[in-house]
Amino acid sequence: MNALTPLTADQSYLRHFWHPVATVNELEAADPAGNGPIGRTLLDEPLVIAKLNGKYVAMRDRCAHRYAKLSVGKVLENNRIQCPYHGWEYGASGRCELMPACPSDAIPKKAFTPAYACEERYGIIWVRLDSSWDCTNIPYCEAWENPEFKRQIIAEPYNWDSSAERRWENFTDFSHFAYVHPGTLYDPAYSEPAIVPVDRVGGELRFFMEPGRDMLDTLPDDSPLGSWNYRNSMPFSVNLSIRLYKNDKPFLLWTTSSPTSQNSCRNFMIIAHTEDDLPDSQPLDFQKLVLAEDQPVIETQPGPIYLDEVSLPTDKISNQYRKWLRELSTAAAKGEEAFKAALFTDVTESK
Amino acid sequence: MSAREDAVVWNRWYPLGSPTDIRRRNATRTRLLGHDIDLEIHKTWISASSDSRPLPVTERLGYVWTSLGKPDGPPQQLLEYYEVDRLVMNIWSTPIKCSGLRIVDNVIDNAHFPFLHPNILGDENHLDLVPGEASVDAAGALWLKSQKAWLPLTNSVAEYTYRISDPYSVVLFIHRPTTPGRYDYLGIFAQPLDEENFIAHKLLAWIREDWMDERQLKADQQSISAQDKYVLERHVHKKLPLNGAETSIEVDSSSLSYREWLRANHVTYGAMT
Amino acid sequence: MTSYVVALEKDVRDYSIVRSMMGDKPLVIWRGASGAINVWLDRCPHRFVRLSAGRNMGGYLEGVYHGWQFEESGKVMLVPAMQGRPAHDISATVYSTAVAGGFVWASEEECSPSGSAGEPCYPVHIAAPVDQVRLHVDSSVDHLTPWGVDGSMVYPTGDPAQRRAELSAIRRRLEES
Repeated sequence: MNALTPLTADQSYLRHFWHPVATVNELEAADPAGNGPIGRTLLDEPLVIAKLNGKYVAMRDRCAHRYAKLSVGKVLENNRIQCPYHGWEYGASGRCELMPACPSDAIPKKAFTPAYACEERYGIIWVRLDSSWDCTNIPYCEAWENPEFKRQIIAEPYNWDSSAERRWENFTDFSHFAYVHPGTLYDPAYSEPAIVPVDRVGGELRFFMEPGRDMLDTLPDDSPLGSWNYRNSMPFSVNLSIRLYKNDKPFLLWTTSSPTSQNSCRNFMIIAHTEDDLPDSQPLDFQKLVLAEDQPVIETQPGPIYLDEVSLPTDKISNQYRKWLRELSTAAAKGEEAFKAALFTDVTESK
Repeated sequence: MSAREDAVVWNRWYPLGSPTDIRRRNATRTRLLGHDIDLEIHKTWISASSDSRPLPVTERLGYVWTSLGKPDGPPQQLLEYYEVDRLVMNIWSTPIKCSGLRIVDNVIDNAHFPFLHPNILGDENHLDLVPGEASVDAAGALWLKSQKAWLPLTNSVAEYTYRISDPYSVVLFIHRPTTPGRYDYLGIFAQPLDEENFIAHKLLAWIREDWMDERQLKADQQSISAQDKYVLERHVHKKLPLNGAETSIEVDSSSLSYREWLRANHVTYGAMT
Repeated sequence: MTSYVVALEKDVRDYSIVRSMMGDKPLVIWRGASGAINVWLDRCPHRFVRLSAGRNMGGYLEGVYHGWQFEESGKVMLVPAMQGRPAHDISATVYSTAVAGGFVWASEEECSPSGSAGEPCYPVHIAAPVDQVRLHVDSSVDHLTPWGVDGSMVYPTGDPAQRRAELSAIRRRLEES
């Protein structure tokens, strides 16, 4: 069998982006004090997440002493993470501040674990492994921006045995819906999903879909059928803003996939709506149904994307996404300026 | 003559331009085969009608296509355009006052490279040409395979193959010695406004390489288009003679194969018969 | 057979081209290295592109499309793609000419300058190809070749006002003579 060619030669460009690692709820639930620590993986890096002195921190989950996992340790009242093995204490900067066995000895230079940029937003904790270029932003989410929204639901994250790239492509894939392209109603032989204008704006992949209204009759009431406006911060975020056909109200489906490793991802979701008395379980259950259908299929795909895959004209969203990922990977290998240009050079097709 | 009488030409898909271009210029009017076409620009697609009759539309290869007749199948295929490691540009839509048959005739002719496109596509010190092998495939498309001409950019002989599946369009396959089996593509799809006025829509789909600068490539291709337009509008007859009126020499075999293919397909619109 | 005034003799300069008409026939007029003025049908026998779009190299007229070289007799002396003469004689359509009273006359048959002047045309002067013969460039005339002053692409447009002025001048000269 011939060797396949991966879409990106080098995945290290992903380290320059912010990725979600845990919800605030998850961290608070881990320990009675609500400060963690918890262990998470991001791009094959084990991370320990904690709240120290009111601020969220993320460090390599590895004590400098004998490489035990700090996430199995404790957050102390002095705002340090304590290693479970020999009690080494780490401050927010990642530097070891106390070695109980030799408390008065000078602390060696190597007694530290790398700390990464860590921020909370939307009730989610975000980490950026490489902040040397400091040119990326936490992905866009509309849930708290639109005053029409009455409720924002932060779902429990779920894992898939597939890559973040594959998960993103699945979420934006329209072939589930048998759209009839309105322009070709004259002959059913030409029915196909619409090929829409796709823009790159400020590091977001943006496009708009308008499925046929006649589908309102055939789909369940819960399905968020309406005009769909996408603002997707690269590389793994989807902000799907819907104007529902049934009542002309806005509805938000936001998801960001976290690349834990090449073949696994952890997925974060936020739902926002305008209903007064809608129990959270209703929209969450509907999403779970959709996920249950998709997961077994997506998990059969290989994690990495390959150039050998056959692309069709109607795969425009996925094709544009892949082109951009490839450009970002190549640019990052060239350096900061090339990467910034690849990420922030806008391309407009829609006007 | 009315295009309706030329069934080969009437029942085909024709490009109207790239949707991005149509949106930017807010182009709501165009012409096809002598008929006025009205375009409506929706948020996610563009629709077309002629005399209030809605026309079928589809989007392929970065263009919006429509037809006045009944095409049997989608517009011509170039799936490689969608490969994600390609630099793809729908470069330019050039209005040219001549028949689309002349436009294609010009694309497949390599002998003019050193004179009309000096130092870009050819130079006067390398005049050797290898004519292509003409054949017609099962779908009826004309192929001109492995024409060779000197290319100044690479300082070596370049190999070209042409596929003509419609009278007014040609896809050029540029052979790449580094990746045999994969080609760089240039597509020229001419939209007939009427018999002597066409718009040449040109696209490029090259395997992206580090040295490629989109702006420079676009400028080079537009220079070539402008140079070709200069000559195309200076033929004494705007239509392509299929009656043997012009004098041909040995190296004109591609042009002759194309003219023979047009005669075999009974194409009359845009031709002098 | 009618003879036509097709240009002013002084407008037919070395290394440049004049475009004119004889009735409904487009003409290319050029002065060769021999000093003689050649008046031909403005149509290359190959692909019928206007010969006036090409270049006057002195000893020959060069087609813009495939670089065919036409000697002053009208015969094709070189087809570059074949690197030699064509297998059989190929020639431009040559008209008989005469120069008299400062005018260039042409006819499809015997040219007699004192005959009827026919419909006056408006000859268009085309500048020399810059990259070949820089000394003879007349920058006051618009460049109607694709290769502009600095070698960049120039799309020829022509100046209608200039055309009209030239036509009026010829009409006046004919009336005065």
